[in-house]
Parts: sequence; structure tokens; C-alpha cells
Amino acid sequence: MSSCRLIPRLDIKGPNLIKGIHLEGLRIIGDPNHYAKRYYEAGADELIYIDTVASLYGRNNLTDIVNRAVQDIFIPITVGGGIRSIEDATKILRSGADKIAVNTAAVRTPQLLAELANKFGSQCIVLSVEAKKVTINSWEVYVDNGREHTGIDVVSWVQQAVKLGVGEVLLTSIDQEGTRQGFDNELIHHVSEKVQIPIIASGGMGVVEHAICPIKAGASAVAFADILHYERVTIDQIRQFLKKEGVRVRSWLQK
Amino acid sequence: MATKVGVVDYGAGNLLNVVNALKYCGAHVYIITNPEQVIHADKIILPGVGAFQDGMNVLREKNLIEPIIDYIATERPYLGICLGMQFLFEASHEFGVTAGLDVIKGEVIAIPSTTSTGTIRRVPHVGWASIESANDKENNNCRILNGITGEDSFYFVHSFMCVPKNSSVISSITEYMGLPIVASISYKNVYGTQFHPEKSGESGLKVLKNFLQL
Repeated sequence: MSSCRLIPRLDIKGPNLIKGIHLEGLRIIGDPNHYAKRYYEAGADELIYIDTVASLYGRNNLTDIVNRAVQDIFIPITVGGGIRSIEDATKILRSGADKIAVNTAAVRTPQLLAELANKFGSQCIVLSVEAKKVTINSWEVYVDNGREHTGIDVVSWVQQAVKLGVGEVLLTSIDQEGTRQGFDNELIHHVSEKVQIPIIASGGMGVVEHAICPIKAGASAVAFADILHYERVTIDQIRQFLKKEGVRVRSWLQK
Repeated sequence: MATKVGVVDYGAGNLLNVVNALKYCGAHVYIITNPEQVIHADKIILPGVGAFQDGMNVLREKNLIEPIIDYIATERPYLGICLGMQFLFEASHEFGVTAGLDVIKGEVIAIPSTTSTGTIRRVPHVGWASIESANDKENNNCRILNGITGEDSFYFVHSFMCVPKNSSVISSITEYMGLPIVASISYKNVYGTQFHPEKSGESGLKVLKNFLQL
């Protein structure tokens, strides 16, 4: 087995790292690359950059930010937000990203996922899903960074996307996001038992102990944001906790 | 003076990241796009990511195959990353059989998608893993792995793996769901890594620095 990955998530608006609650009520935190570099040096296994307003404005403005980040950050980087075509994806990948995350455009044109996977390989394509609970054991897909509902069922959407060739799922719970109340582990469980590809659990991490449940529910990676941005814990504390719980993590030594 | 190293551009998606990592390690990096540059290089790197057949086709179109084989024959240092390592073998079975550079005997085959006990092995193999170096054994001193221990982890992303005919070229292996996978090779001045040193944090930079010091 590969190690469980610990992934800081950087939500970006314009030039700023931001943080919201339920993907709304955005607060400015600072320069994204300042934080990215710090997380790299602190032992992050990967980084995720999401342009939170890109699909609203129809463009992703992260290429410059990513291009600067990859000068001195040497771990895999996923970039999402506003990717609508092969050309958009090519631009992001040329700027130094290793993977692209797609949500809104894929929901509107599912075939885009197949085109992207054929062109760049499945390992390069992450399906970003914003899920909101409807009833017990049922979640709905949202787009435009949690702004718009679609009526689509999360589990069947992920299954369809896997058939189209995506290699990974970034599964964000809108209900839990920014609440610090823990992940939506039921959601992770329901999705992961239906597909074989890795799932990145996102949304709700408030304390170190929250990291274990999504992994037990089937996630291969955990994403977190403000718990790090506000320095409530370090990546190494999460790593040590998971290790103690018997989860395989990357061995990492402080420089 | 900074070590000069040429990175071969055959359309691999991660060229920029390899260049960045080498610059960070203090190297003077230039991009190789024509045969002349290969002939005059002191050190060359072939980055990875992409399909075997596409990559070999681009090398052929750019007339780089013969110069690279000649370059290797002079025993100047070569580092192949991921696909750049797979190119060294006789052939790959990715989308039919495609001939490689045939510098090292053996083939490139798909990672089996089921384990010996019948459970599913997720392919591509993506993620961080430690490697077991053969440096501890006799007769294999892979210099790019100097200072690498079981505490180092590397980033892998691949669906195919190298199977050398002569196991003495294997300088490290990694294990993926019960399957030993060749993680690096070393043969005279030819080195290869299945993992991505440019994406493996400090451990990966250590490997690149070792190569620059050859």
C-alpha cells in the first residue's frame, strides 16, 4: 500500500489565500505561496490549490501563483477551479501543476473528463466533488464552489466519472467545510465502497483526532486548510497521530 | 562552477519541474532539443510522464535516438526518470510492443492489477513509498542513492514497471501491495529512477544532487 497522504488545501481568490465556512463567507489569510512553502518544509505530501472564483468568472488565474510555487516546492501539486477545456488544462500543467481538479465544467460536460484522461492520463485528472447532504445516505452535487445545486446524486456521479477515466476524487463536504466539526465520514464511506480510485477527504478537520475517521471510512488522503493556516496543529502532529493509530504514513524527518 | 546538465525535451509534461529541481540543487541547466546538444553534453537527464510509444516517436522525429545511444556508450552520466528509465530497456508492452533504446536487457510490462491472493491492486501506482536499496549488498554501489536510507520516501506515479533480465542492474526496489517493483537501476554510468526525484521533497533532491556530483 502507498502511504496515506496529508494534503494542505489552499483556496485562492485573486492573489490571496482565503478561508470560508461552508465554502462561503470568505476571509483573507495571506500570500498563498508563503503558506505553501511553509507546508512543504513542514512535511506536506502534496498541495491542492483551488481558484474559488474561477468558474464564476470563467477563468483560472492560478498559473502565475503555481509557476512561482514550483520554483522551490518539490512535491506534487493539484490545481483546480475554472478548468473547462484541454487548453485550460494544458496551461495549468505547463505552469508546473502535476494534476488538475475539475468540478463545474465536468458536471456540465461529463465527456470533458474522458478527453482530459485520454490526453494527460488518468493519474493526472482529479474529480472535484462538492457534496451537500440531502437526506440520510444521500448527497447532492454542487458546482461553482458550493453556490449552485445540480440535482445530481454524488455516488452515481463519482461512478460515472470513474468510467470516464478520472484517477482520483477530491470529496469536499459543504456541510462540514469550515466548521471544524470533523469530516462527513458517512459520505466518504458511501463513495469509497463504490469505486476503486483514491479518495481525498476534505472539509471539517478541526482537531488532530478527526484525521482517523475518513481513513477508516476508505479515504486514501486527507485534505485540511484552516487547521494549518491558523497554526492550530502542525502536519507532523497529524502524521504522528495517524502513525500511532496504525496508519501507514510517509516517513518524514524534520530538516 | 555549477555543474552543467542537459535535460532532453521530448514533450514530457514534467520537464519544467525537473529543470526547477536541478536549478534549486545549484546546477546550470539547459534544454536539449537537437542531436548536436546530446553529442556535446557532459550529463543528460530524460524526464518522465507520458506514454512510451509517444515518447519514443518524438525522440525518433528529433533524431535523438542514435545520439543518446552513442552518448551512453561513451560512459558519460545518464539519468532517466520514470519513462526516461523505461526507455533504456529493449521494449515496452504499453499499447502494443514498442522498441526502446536497448541499453539494458529486459522489458517494461504492466503492473498486474490483481495480487497473488486475488485482491485488486489499484493501478496506476500513485503515492509515496520507501525503497530498499541494494547498496548494502555486494557489487552494487549505486552512487545516486548515496545517503538514502529506509527513512527516505519517494513519489511514484506509474502503470508500467521495468523487468531487467539481469537483476544486478537493480539498485533499489519498492513494494506495492505485495509486488516488488524496480525503483531504480544502475549500470555503468546509466542511472534510472521509477520514482520522481523532482517531486519527492528533500529525499528526491538528495538523489539529484548525487547525480550532479558524478
